[in-house]
Amino acid sequence: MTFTYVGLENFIRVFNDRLFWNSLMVTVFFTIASVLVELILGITLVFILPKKNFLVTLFILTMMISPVGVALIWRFLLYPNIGVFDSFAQNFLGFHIPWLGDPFWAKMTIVIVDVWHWTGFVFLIIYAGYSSLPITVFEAAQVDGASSFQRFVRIALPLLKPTIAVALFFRTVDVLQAFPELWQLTFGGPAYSTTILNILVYIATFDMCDWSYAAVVSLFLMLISLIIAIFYSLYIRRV
Amino acid sequence: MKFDFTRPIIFVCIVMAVFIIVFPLVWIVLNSFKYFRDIITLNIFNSNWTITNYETVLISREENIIHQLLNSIFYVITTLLLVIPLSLLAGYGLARSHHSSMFKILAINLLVFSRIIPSVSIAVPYFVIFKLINIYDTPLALVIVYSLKVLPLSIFMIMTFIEEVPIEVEEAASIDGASLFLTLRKIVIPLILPGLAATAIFSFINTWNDYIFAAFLAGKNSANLQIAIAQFNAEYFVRWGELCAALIIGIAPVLIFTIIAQKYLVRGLTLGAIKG
Repeated sequence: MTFTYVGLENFIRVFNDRLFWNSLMVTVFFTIASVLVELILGITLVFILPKKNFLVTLFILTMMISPVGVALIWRFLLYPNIGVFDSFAQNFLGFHIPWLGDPFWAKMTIVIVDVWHWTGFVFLIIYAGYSSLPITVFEAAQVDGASSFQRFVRIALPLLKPTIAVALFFRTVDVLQAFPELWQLTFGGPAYSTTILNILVYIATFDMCDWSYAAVVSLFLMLISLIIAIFYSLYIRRV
Repeated sequence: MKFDFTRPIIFVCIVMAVFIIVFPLVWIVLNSFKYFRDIITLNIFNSNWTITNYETVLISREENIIHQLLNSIFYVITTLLLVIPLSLLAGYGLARSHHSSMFKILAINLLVFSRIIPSVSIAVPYFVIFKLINIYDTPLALVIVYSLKVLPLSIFMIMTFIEEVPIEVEEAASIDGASLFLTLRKIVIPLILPGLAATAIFSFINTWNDYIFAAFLAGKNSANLQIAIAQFNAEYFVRWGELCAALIIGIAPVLIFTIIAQKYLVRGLTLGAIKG
């Protein structure tokens, strides 16, 4: 094979492509939505759940399942008519939600599935940080008459800031790498509504056979991850 | 005494969380033992139970998944054999080098950096390179990629486990005349054995679960189990029973290992995250 250098031609081609900008928006939405929901759920679970060992094991279980496995489990559960969710909603509640067939609901579905898969991770990290906090601080607050909610929000959360930042960091970086879940769940459709940048790379490599397009997009993806990583590491160092 | 109304709420929350986590898994297990007509009619209670799905998937179907299953096992074993000795030595070196040495800081930053790079981003260049040097769709290609993918995390984990071993123990051994390798073999490895097991399990799970690299770099010959499972997921007509059976075969080993080793896994996960 011989190569010819084309300068910035590939970059111009990619940045003029509407598909690229669409995927970028989907990626931003998916990342922010799922990381936020996971964070809120994770913190709530740490607050609510008692210190039970079997619960921790359960939460690890979901995150160890392979991405393809998770995608197919949920594709089966959400499949129109056959899936248990849809048929339950149709038969008993009398409405129909096109989980996989409608651009809006497909976006919701990918967030829900990612939350199911990865909330355990956020929970686990914050839980580990929470258990390692010195208990005397909480006792002092209790003596001063703070309720358990106040103790958690006013004392634990500020102390847990670095831990939460770490959890956020790993989740953001990982969400940007999520490819098999979405690919097996929706194949990037309907109408490219769940085509995140990773899926765009795959489509460019194999469907469009346009390796330079794929290379540009993956370079861009790497840059985003790198910027986020630098941003977080500056934040963590400051805390 | 005043009735504490938070307790029932907490109880309901726990039950809901457990249900949300467990229900999809149980549902898949149940459906993998059913005939197709019972699955699509959602016949839960009075269906005929059967193991045909597993038979079809593993044995009788024309393109059964045995080949891919064996491939996956091969990848896991070779990756472990390559990665564990390498990361043991590298982790030992890093753990015992001076805290503020430029080399250690650089190495750790590079390890974290390699965790950040999206797999898809490096899969495309690998694809092009492997095409060029003609090892595309051979097991060799995937073993190389998996080892490189798993190595950073396992070096990092083993390093943190070795750092917890007090250096005095090793000094005592070296005063008694043990060489470096003897110390490593007789003192360090037995002390970090649980950590080593956790690292091995992580490497196993990461390799076993991989779909991205297999999708980009494997053709028919070297496809792994995840690819085989994904092939049941056709766009229009899906044989759900066989899909569920294949899914269970793919998931079960990981779940069993997780439950057996959960204590060490928790430590490995949180330790990597908090120190990183």
